[in-house]
Amino acid sequence: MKILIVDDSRVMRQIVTRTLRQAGYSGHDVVEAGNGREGLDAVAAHGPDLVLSDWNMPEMNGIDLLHALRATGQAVPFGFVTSEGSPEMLTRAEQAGALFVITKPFTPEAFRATLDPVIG
Amino acid sequence: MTPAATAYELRSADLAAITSDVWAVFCDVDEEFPLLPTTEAPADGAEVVHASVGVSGAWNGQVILELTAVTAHAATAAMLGQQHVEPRDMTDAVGELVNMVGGNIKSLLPTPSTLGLPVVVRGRLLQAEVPDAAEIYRAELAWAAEPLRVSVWTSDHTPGTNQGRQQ
Repeated sequence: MKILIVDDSRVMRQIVTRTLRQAGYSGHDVVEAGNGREGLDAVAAHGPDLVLSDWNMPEMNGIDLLHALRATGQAVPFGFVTSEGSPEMLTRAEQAGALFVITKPFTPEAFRATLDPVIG
Repeated sequence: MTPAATAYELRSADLAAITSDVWAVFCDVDEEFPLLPTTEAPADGAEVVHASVGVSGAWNGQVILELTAVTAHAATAAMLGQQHVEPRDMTDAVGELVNMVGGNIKSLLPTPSTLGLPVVVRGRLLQAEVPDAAEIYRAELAWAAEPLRVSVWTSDHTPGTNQGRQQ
């Protein structure tokens, strides 16, 4: 499986990658993008099987990335990994077609609980 | 019930609890070096890293994280899982820390509102001061004997909702 991690923080992209490994999801290809705009290009270029995206980013944020993907018919499974988990944002994420929202700070256990049905 | 508590769910104790959660998960806080309340201030001349993130909308203000460069380095090393830390890594990591603390604090504030992007600066004995805003909450903590401070400031001046700092 190819997983695209979209986050403007290089440190956080590294933490997400490490947490995937700690959660037992080793052996997957990980590609990275630094904002929503780059994420859009990366989906087109790499055809990932799953997108894990931050919400709050410069250039293009995560919810706009998701809207842009869906507007072009791109149905790649998409979830947020974000520092905000308010009911309002959960509703917006769900309405836009996100499968899940993982709130930072997260643990490998939280990744497993959320990603097992997706990654398998 | 405090005046501020009548306005929204955020409590003073939440600052320390949220910060402790972030540190526990990403900064290798353990029994040897727990995150504890303190009254210690950074030593004179200490290099300090100051990070802030804004919230705008139904509530307007700033969440500010101030920590010594020693703490910022240790937190960055823990987040990266390596001792070698470049200055840009420290800026990135401390920005993420205030983003996480601010994002979780925002969840306890009135909606709808938007979280801004973090801003990180480094200098000597910086003292946070937000023009035309009041500091309403502050948590003074220490990690491995190094002080760090989280504060919440608001530029909303609705009578009876947010005046007067609580600690």
